Amino acid sequence: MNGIRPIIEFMTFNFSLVAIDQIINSAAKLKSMSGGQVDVPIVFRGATGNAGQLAAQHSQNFENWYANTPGLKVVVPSNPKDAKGLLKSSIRDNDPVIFMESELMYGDKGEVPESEYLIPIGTANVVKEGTDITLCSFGKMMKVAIQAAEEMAKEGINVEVIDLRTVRPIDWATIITSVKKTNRLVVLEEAWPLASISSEIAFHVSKNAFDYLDAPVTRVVSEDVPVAYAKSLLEATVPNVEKTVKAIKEVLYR
Amino acid sequence: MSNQTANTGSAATEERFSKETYMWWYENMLHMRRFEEMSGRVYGQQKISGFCHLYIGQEACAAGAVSALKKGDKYITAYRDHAHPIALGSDPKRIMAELYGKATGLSKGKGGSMHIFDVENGFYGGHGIVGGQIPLGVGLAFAEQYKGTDNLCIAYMGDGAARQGAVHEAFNMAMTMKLPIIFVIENNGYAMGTSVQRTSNVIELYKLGESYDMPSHPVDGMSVEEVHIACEEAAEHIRAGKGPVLLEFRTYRYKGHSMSDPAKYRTKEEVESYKQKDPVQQVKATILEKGYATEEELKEMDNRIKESVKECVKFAEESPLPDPKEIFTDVYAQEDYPFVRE
Ligand SMILES: Cc1ncc(C[n+]2csc(CCOP(=O)(O)OP(=O)(O)O)c2C)c(N)n1
Ligand SMILES: [Mg+2]
Repeated sequence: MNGIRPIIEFMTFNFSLVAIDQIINSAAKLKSMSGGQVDVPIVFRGATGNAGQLAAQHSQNFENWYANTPGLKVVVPSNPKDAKGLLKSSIRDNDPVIFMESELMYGDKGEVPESEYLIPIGTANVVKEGTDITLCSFGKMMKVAIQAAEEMAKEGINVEVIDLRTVRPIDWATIITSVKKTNRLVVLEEAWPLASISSEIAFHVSKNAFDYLDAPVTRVVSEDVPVAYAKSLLEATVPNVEKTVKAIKEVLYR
Repeated sequence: MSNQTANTGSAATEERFSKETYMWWYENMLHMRRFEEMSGRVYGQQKISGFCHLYIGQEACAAGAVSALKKGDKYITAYRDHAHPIALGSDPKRIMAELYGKATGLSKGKGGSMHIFDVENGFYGGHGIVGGQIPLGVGLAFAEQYKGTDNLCIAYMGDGAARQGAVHEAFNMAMTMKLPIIFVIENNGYAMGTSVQRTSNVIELYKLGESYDMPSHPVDGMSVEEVHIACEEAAEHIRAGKGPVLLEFRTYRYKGHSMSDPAKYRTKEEVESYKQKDPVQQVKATILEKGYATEEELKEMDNRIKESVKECVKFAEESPLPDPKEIFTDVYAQEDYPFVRE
């Protein structure tokens, strides 16, 4: 708010909780409380979500926590190319942006144009067009989404896959347009179920595209419990391809 | 309070402790050492996942406290937490099983390496957010004061944790309320790859307590005798109702921060210089010098410990993984809590 553009790195967003007062009570509020006198062009970036057997305190998703707060924007890229375009947009944005990455994606390789480009905050990406059902996800879970769509393709089901890229604001138009075409929706998200991004999407779609739905909206999320250390417990808790395929089939009544 | 640089082996100090105490220290610290060496080995073999923070080099910080304090006192620390429960008498098989994420682990495989808990033996964990355990320690101490016991809490943190905001609020509150708590800063020189010098102008960490008027002392954390004496004196002060004490144990970790740390931020010479003051070797030297045991007897003890640590691995490997249904247990006290289910 004094003329610079800080970029704050959290080793992981689990640790952002010791600074959450400054994010929620200050960064998100200053512009409004000051009647517009100050801008807060700050980016908080770091890893979100589970990254293997790291137990309860190191395996949390805060996308919906931050997305709940007016004043913030929340960006969750799913691949290297998007990460560059979205990070540049986030840094240039005049509002506070939460930019959430994944420890499990830091080693990912992908084509990244060397030229300058921006991906606007608030635009989703239809990564695969389809006709039978819409599968909507973001961040690290996009890999699971794409694999699940490939599995379904083997069974002759054509899944449309949407990468939200931003969870505040959410690109409602892209979701609604897709649902109007496919008439079915599954949301895949790594966070816990209650008051999550998927709850919000299900509400919005039932409110605005109810007549187009041929089945209730379904979601794949983490189980409603702290993520335990043991391999067997971790696997039982977090979303995966198998659970996603099952949800898709449920929505297709197969 | 004991002299910060007191070289162990001073005759007066040694006279203070019995043969039994020395033998207990040696067996205990050697046990920690061998346990951690094995933890590192099986981690290297990818039998343990996640993070694994070893205590090698810091053994005196736990052993000297346990010998000085009493049953009923409460212990809490960060994620470098395999050794304290060993000193407190936890079953090491169940510590190893926890590292393996097995149902027989002390935390039923739910916590893993960073979250060992053994409340029955006074050990309140194993916490993963740097500094987060210190306000909890203050709460443990408050409960003892509230219930009118003469128990205290000893709350361990690292040099990195000492910079956390919540730690300072905890210091202030504990002092204001005269709570029965020993705050321990285990200053091993580094917070991951960041040296103490790089984190603040105040590098004599015990001085952090002085701004709260807390009795605060530096202690040679490589000397189990010095750790014991400091804890004993602190406990006396605290049990007399005079409130908290801060101890800075000056110690060193020989291994990386966690198993994935190549430790490029320090020199071999620096590590070697601390190994010269190795807490286990120091006690061994005194035992031999005093004739409390022979080299041969100590060798036998070492072999016995090594065997028992192998038993721990066997136990852990043969134990079952937790049943997936267990994810819904131990979350709430309410047994039929209505989880959101898809
Ligand atoms: C709030 C928070 N920030 C960052 C981390 C990541 N982290 C884990 S251990 C550690 C270093 C802590 O060092 P220190 O307190 O000196 O303890 P030591 O590991 O040396 O025992 C860091 C930064 C964390 N766990 N919690
Ligand atoms: Mg340290």
